[in-house]
Amino acid sequence: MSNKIRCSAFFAFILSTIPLFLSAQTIFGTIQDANGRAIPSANLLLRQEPGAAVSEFKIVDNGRFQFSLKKEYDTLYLEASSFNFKRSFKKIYDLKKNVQYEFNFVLEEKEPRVLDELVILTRPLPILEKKDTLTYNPDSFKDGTEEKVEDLLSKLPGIDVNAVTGEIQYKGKSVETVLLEGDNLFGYNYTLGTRNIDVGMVEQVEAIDHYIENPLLQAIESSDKVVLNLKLKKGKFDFSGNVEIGAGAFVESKWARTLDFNLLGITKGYKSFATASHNNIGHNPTPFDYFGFSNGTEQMQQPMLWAKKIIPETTFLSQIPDERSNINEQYFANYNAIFRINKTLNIKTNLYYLQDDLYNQEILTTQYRFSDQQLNTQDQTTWNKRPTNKRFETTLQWNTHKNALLEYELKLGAESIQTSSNVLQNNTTNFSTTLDSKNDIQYHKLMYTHKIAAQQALQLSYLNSRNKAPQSLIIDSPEADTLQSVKQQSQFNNNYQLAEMSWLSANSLGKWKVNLGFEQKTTPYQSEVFSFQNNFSYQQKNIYQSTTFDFKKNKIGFQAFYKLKHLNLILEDNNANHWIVEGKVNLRYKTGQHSKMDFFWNRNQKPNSEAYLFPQPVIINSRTTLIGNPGLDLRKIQSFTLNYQLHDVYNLFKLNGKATYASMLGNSYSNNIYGEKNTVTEYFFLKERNEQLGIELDISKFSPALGSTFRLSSALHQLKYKNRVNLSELRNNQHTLFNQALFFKTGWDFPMNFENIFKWQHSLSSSQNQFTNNAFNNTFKAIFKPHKNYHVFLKYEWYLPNTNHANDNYHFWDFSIRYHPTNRKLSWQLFLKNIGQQNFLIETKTNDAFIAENQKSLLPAHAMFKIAFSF
Amino acid sequence: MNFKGFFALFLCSFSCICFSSTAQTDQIIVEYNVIKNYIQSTYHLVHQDELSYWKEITEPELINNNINYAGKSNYEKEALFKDLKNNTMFSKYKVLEKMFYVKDPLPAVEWEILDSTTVFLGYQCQLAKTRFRGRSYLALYSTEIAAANGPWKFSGLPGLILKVSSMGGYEAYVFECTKITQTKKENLNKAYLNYVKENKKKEFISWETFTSGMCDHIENYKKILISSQEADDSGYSLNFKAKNYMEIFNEPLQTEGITMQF
Repeated sequence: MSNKIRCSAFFAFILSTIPLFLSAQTIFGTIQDANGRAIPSANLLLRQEPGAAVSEFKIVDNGRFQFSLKKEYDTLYLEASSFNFKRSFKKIYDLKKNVQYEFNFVLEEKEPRVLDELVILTRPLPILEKKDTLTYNPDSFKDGTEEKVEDLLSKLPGIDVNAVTGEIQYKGKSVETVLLEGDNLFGYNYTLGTRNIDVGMVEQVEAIDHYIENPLLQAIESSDKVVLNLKLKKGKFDFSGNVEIGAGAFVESKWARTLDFNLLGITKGYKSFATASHNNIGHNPTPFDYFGFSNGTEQMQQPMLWAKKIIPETTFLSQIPDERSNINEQYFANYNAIFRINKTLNIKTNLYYLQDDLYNQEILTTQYRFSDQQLNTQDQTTWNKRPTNKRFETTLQWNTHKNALLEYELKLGAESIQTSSNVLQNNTTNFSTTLDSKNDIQYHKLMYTHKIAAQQALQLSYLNSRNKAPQSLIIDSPEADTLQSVKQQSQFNNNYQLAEMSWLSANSLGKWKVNLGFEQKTTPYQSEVFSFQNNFSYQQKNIYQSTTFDFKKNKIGFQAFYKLKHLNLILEDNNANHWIVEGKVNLRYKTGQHSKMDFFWNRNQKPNSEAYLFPQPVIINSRTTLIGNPGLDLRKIQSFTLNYQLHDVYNLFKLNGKATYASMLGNSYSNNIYGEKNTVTEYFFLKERNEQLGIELDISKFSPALGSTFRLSSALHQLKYKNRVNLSELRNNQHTLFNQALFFKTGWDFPMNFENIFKWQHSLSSSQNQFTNNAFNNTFKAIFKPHKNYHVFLKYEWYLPNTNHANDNYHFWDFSIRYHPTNRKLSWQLFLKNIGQQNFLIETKTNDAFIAENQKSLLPAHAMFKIAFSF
Repeated sequence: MNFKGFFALFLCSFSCICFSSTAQTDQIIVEYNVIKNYIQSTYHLVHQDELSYWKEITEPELINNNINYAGKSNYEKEALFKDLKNNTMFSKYKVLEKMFYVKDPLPAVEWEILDSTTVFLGYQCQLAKTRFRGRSYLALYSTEIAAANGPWKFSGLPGLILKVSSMGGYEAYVFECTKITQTKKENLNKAYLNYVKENKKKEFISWETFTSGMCDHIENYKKILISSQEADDSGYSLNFKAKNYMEIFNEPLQTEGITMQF
């Protein structure tokens, strides 16, 4: 046993020293401190001459080193060093081969320094060379499609796009605008860009939080605005664009057409986007919605500028997607440009032209039940709506000084909507109606910003806007025995001005904005029909002082706002003065890496809307007349919102929970008098309370095992309000709407994938009677990709708008095959829509007094072949 | 096995006995300007004998001032501890929305020192080059500051690395020292202990596990993207890539990008 061990030890020793024998020159040794302890980390440098470049080195761990030299040397200067120790030097002469050299270094500690901060050397930051190519952010997306930016945006995590209005939300917040290479080319009408810019032109999409457009206010102003920035591809040419032409046919032997032309121009001092389009297949690439009449982003952002339209363009708000029911003939052109005249001056221009011809046939059947009465009515309407819209906008930005910016904004718009309709009322009486609505706006805004100090700025602004909305209504009925022809003129104007001075400041405590301002809104109204005349002017003036404070630290965010204003209301000979305090509080707490909680509280008092103040009757269609109620009362509004958001993008677990409560004390209520041929709605003001409760919950989860995503969305909204019906006592009403949607989609790495969305809507209106409706909708999609350049899409939609009419089911089939080559220059698409040839769809709506069913015409089945070319 | 056997084993190996140094540990704070492609920010390397801390002290900003930098609203500044005594590094990566925590030994970067010398920031410096995790780098180091350390994960030269630049490839990285301050000792040990405590429950994986698992992670990410969005007839492809990571952990993702079909 002992012999074996001796042999093992001997061979082990030999093996361990073989490298020493084989190397040309070998160095070994120790580096220790004065106490004989090994220095944990030291450097051993070898030079051929003192002060020369290092020839070889060794990082010495734990005080011991042994290594073979890589080259052969005659003389070597050794230097041992370590942080916080003085250096030690040794020299070797006449190095020989096959010799081991041992060196033991002892390093002395450096003398302790006086521990004051001592800058050893400072050097200014190097001037960095700017290059032309774009910057990439981590995990950025690069687009490579021929479709529009809006299609892409809706695909990006965290971004939601409203299919009807084009409104974009980023992580639940509405975006202010969409920038093009950092420039605000489109303003509120950003759908001009998102619905028309070809995705093939876009390199990257950035979401910018806390956006501040004015560069002088960076780091001073607090902002919760969110914008998206489109960064464009840099190609050989400064101009790029695409052309798309489509031709096909509807089943009723009518041509189906689409033509789309977009041009993007970027040079050093000029940035522009132009689009021209025409289609009759229900597509709407504009920011204006004349079919559904939802408010565009511009009207939602600045409601105080727009005059009211007493006579609505539509009576029944449909939930059917526009692409199914928008029977149109649209022409649209738009040009947007930014000119950088020089380093201090730039001008932005936007021009729009829109013309459309919309058509539909509707049958509205209403069953009224109130008190012990029952009433049924039916209106069959064929309408044709021809809107035109012309707009010119320009903005000038001039840096008068490096710390000062002067901005001037001008908007001129002229809109005209001519609506002609034929109504068969209750299968007995024919009416023909012509409504001519105009809307002209003139808007000026002047703003001056002066940066007083690094974190202080002063702003002065003046805004003046004039909006006229005249409406002319003619109703003829040759068959009516009691109703004469109606010729009514109605016009609301809105003259608005705002002068404001703001002081902005930021410090370690937070960000402040203090405002002092004067606001005036005058809304004269005139109408005349038969012997009924309205002619009044309603003026709202206020002087105010407001302060906003914004504070953020680590996980907590706090924003508070108050406004103290003196409000003066004048309506004819009546005058009222009010002192009003408004308040808002927003508390935010970041509960985790991907989650946050928000609490909002808002308190306000507002005067009654001018839309309820006309004392004489106004006819709005062949059936309905409105009567207002003048008064200078205030509405008191208070709301609370609690919001929790968990957004773990990678694991695709998304949870959004929101609870809202709002109460309004003081309102214009309606007394609705329903008759077989006529309805009169009379408004009256009461200091009663309306309440609104909303609960929303969204849960989304990706299942790795199934490679699929499941999403459950639930929303419950309840509104409590009051009214009178047919001169009844004041009724307490409640309207409850519950929406549930279940989404499922596969994400397989396979040529075939599937998607299914099931929706259920339950509505319950209760008062003295109850009206309830359940509607179901299921959409199934199959996506087939036989080859990377081909995309085959099949969609089947099933609607059951009213479970009480279970046999009234609607089935829609759509099919599309698309080819898009890798070079993306030329692509084509063949699609068939509404293959099942559904010509109409009936929707149901409930109210506290009736249940209404509206049958609407749909876009007929059609097939189209499209070619697109990008350059 | 008896005492003789143990003695034989002892001859075959050279055991290292560590003694903790009682030398005074002054600290230096080395400020670097770091450019990752066209984003720049400032970092500090806080170095003391057995521990160093690499931390980002300003948020990144675009070099090109014509474009407003988007940034990330919840941007987390980078931080990296190097435990020089135990030869360990702790770092984290956020790739395609998922956080990865990596613990690996201090990289054995094989440097090739070059004969070229220059003066930088008043220090005599020498050039060295290396290739580390998919990229080649050129470094300037000075033996006048005897700290075998440098920005980010770089170390292993017999002096402080004052400048490192990447060479070639799809991206460009530059670390350049702008200031060195010798100062009172920050409580780096405490900061390190706090860091270990805060991340106690995190699963730290090795670099090899991280890179080998990346393909599965990308596949999963693609499935999530496809399955979370409503389909339509547009039928388009999307290419995404991960940029501004020094180390190559997945070549396709960090070079041409990954293309997927919707």
